[in-house]
Amino acid sequence: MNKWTNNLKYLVLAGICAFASCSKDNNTDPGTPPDDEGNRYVLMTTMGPFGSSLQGGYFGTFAEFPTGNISNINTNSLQIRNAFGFRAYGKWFFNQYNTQGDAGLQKYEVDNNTGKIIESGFLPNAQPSYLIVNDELGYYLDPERGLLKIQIFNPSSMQRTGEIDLNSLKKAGIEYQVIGKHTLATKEGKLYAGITYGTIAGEGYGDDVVDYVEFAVIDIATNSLEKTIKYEGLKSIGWGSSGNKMWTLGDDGALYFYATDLGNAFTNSSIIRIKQGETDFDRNWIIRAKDYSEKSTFATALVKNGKLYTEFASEPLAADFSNLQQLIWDYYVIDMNTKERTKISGMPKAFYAWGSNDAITEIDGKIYFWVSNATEKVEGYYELKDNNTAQQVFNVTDGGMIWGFVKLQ
Amino acid sequence: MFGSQLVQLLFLPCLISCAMPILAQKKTLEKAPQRFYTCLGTIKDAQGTPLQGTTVQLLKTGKKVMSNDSGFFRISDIPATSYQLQVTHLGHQPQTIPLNFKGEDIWLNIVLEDSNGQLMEVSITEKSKNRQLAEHPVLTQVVNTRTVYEQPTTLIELLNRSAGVRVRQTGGLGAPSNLMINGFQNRSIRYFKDGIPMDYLGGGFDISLVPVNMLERVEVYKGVLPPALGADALGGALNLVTKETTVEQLNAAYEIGSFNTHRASINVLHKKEDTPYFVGLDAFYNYSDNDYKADLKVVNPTTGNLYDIRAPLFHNRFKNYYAEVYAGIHDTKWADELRFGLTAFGLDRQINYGASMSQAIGAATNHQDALIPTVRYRKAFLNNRITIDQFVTANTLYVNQVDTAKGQYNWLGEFTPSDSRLGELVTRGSLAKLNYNYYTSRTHLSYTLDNGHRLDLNIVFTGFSRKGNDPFGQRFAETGVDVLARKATYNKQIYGLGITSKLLQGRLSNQLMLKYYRYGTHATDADYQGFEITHNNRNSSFGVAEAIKWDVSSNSYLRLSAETALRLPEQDELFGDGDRKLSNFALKPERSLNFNLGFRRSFHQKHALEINSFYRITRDMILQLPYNFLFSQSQNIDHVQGIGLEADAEVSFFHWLKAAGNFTYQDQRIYNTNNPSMEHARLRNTPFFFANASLNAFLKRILNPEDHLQVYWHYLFVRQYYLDALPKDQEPDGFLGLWGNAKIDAQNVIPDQRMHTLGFTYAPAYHALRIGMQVKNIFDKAVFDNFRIQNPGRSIFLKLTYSLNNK
Repeated sequence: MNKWTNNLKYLVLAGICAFASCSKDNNTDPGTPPDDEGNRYVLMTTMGPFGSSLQGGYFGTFAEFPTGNISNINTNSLQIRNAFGFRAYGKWFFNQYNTQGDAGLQKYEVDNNTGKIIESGFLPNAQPSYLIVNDELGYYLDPERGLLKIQIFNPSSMQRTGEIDLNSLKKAGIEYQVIGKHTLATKEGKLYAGITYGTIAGEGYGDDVVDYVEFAVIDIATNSLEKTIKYEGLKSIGWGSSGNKMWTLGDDGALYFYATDLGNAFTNSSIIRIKQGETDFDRNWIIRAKDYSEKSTFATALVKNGKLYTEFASEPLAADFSNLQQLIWDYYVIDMNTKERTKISGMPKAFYAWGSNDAITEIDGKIYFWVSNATEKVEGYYELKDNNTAQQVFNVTDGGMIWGFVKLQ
Repeated sequence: MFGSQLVQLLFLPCLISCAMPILAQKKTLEKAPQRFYTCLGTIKDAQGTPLQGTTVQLLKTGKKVMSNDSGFFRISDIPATSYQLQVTHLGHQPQTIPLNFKGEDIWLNIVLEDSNGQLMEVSITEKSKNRQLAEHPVLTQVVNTRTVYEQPTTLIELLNRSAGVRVRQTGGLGAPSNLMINGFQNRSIRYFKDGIPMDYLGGGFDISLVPVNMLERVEVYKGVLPPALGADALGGALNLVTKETTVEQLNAAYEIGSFNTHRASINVLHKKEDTPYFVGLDAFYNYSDNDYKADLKVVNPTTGNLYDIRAPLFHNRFKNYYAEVYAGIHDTKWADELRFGLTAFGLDRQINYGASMSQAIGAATNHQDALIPTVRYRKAFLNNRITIDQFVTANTLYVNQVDTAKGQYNWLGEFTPSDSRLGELVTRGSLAKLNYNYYTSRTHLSYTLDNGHRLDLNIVFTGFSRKGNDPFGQRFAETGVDVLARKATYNKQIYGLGITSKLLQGRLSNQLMLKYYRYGTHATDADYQGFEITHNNRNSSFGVAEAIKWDVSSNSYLRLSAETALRLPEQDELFGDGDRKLSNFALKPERSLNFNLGFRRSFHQKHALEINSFYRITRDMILQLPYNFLFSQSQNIDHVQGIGLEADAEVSFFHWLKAAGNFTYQDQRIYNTNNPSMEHARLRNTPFFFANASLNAFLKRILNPEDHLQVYWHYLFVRQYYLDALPKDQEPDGFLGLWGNAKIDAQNVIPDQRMHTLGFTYAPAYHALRIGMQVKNIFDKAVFDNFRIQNPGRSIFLKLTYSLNNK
């Protein structure tokens, strides 16, 4: 058994990255923050890189869009046991561990009066691939309840309300089959749940035993299976271990999925999509990393106005991952029609997007890029300006490395 | 359950049968025409303070004993006739008491008057072994186990009453423990049994298992290790000293308590008069269901939410046995002692929780056993100027891990099968069988020069190899061979050379030590693709230590020590686990520069005060880090700087009432982190303030004019500490961080611990039987040594001890 594929499941434990040390007197010329009346911003930082036993970090909240040099450790900060990316929905934000570090879906809110973070519900064993559809409906995988069952829950009450049994999709002869472990996505009333065919040893992380990706398509109104869809020639859509869901909904209404190829030496990392109005893959469109950079991987993307923003490694990624977390990453924009790639300038080399769901994020119509570069003492976000340039908006001086930044509604 | 009770039933008769030779001897003696008697009693000074170390000699019989900490003494097997009993204690006027045995044992309450003109320099030479050790230039704390033989007290509880020492236990009896001395913990601390590194004993003689009755004393070395202890300890060591084999004896104890806890121990030594032969047995047995109640959480199967319950642990049973049979000769022309030992131990542990109690584990188990032959030879030459002490052992330790539940339990004990996992501890499951081979040789030579200097040379060679299999485990990609099937070896040699000097008429003691460490490894690791790579590695290093003790006056002294301590990387740190932990043969030893300064003053043998402090600066601490986003690796990374202060005081209010207390404060902080939030943060997950208080009352004439009762109360306080590093500017505001909470919302804290223990020991008149009872955690507080691993609540224990000594 190949060790590196066998062990890819341990990515959950290996999310601590080289951290950025930031000088307090680092002079940052802030970009233009949005108007922030009554809003809240949440920043997650991690204390790495001191090892797997130091995955802890902080949630910090800000009443205004942060600018200049900031600290993520203040009176409103919450120290958390595991900080490896997070996601937000409306006025809530979610971590895939509770404050004490137990795996599961932890919901948080910000107290409007005090600005402090409040825990408001926890679903143990929920996997990081969870999906919030609306205030009353969400889905998650609880492997202890079954690898071929999708759990239904109410995000408002954070209570489980039922499950979708997909055992009808069980394929004979497959050692390890799981649905929804790496991807749960939604578009136009359908739930798209990734199906993984792997091995017991690999537990579904980069150990695909088939040469295609497959999704179950479920009607959300009835919570019933409609069909399955396949895309031949790709492996490993998504990677359910961090706060990064590894898919995005473009402003064109299409769902974009990232095939990381982490388990296949980065030879075929790609982005594929399901177009608006469709319930099957668009087999006429694909972005392949190798068309731009030899051995790179996709972990983040944002689709807007016919452009796809993403990150590429500036050197071939080593099969043993030895340079994956080095400062070799640059942000680019790809024209969706011509497939032409243009580098976003004005930023130093960045860190691998990996656990961050918000490495490229849009807030109030503006696009921001996360840059973590310890060498340049940069740990912050840059705003996209004209002519594909970017300008730093804020820099975190205390709190560690950023693993996500969101604006709550 | 039935099986465990059966084991107990079988074991106890075994203990009794082992004791039979001695008992039989007693019986024979009693049947003899001539009757034998016992003289026993207590010795106190004029102020009523018990006198320890008083020599009590039955003249013209060769029978001589020393009084214990309570001033108690006993001389047994005295033929019926008249004698002179001589009682001497330096600093006091000797007494000679006529004895005439006429059908009854004799109990004496002896009071020795102070004498003027005794030279205190001389009295030092008469101090008890414990006191002598405690006053060694090397900062040593001697935990006297003899004083608690009759109490149902664990060794861990006893150690936790000592200043500067903190043992954290993850649960009840037999649960793994972590010893901290002067802020150093885990692998920075080394363990010895009778001066021999204890690795070869695996978990068989762990401090969480050994009954106090098995030990003569525990030596806690805070910093520098004397030359006779050969180990790469970074911050101290613990030496468990078993009972001396000079006195024919039988000691048996049985303890029963909450959570179906049973503990039994026996020490038997048989020596035949006028022959050099001896034979003996040291054995103990521990059993506990450890089913104490804890505050836990269970998933509601419908809503998927957690709800709180208070429920007993249900898969937490622990049992082990340990038995050493030994035989040998002593005091011959060619050997002061030649001792052959054969040790057997077995250990069975149910596993009910992992790193916290958030998830129940209901089926995983761990087993260890070993059969260990040992040889020890001791001889002094040239009028005791040259001594040699040689120990050697070779053995195999067998370890089995079973983790094949194919589902999960909750804290109600309900099992839910799951197709997502084969095991509970690790999802892939485990049926690992590992064989650890050990070879240990320790040679200690000492040479006393004419001018009073003494040279010590100590050589410890440790060989280790690991081999095993796990049908659920990792396999090499190319060959399919089980990773554990490849043999991994690790050899370590530690050479220590020391010179001990006494200067200025003995007022200044000095010890200078030089140590040389070297190790070698041979192991097979897997590369990132799972292919086999064989590594060979060697490394070596030096260390120096210096310790000085200055007697400021007859009742006070100062101690100062400094060392460049070193800890070699362990085998698993060097060659990984063949799985997701990679090898790192470039690892450097951890290094620490330690300074200790201590002062002790006693007041008329009634009160005493000891203050110790330390400063340490540790570099290249080895931590397990992510090598890349997939693998981890041990690396030299952390730097720690710290100071500590501890104080220990004893006060005798009355001759029957004694109080004691201590506190320890340690300010240890990491530095050079390149992270402003972490810089100078306290060492995480490490207690920094703890304190003890105790009261002991010695009463007599309770039910009988000659009986005795000791009543005691112990209080332990541990200040809360944070699981993760807290930025220094966010620490609690209170003085030294002793009050208040963090300025940010930091919930992952090990809370304040306040625990009261109350107990008594009753000694019936003229009997060798003692009855001890103890209530631990009287107020049934939820106490934690580790994050979210609750320790037992209120519990009650009863202990019976029976001792017979011949001298």
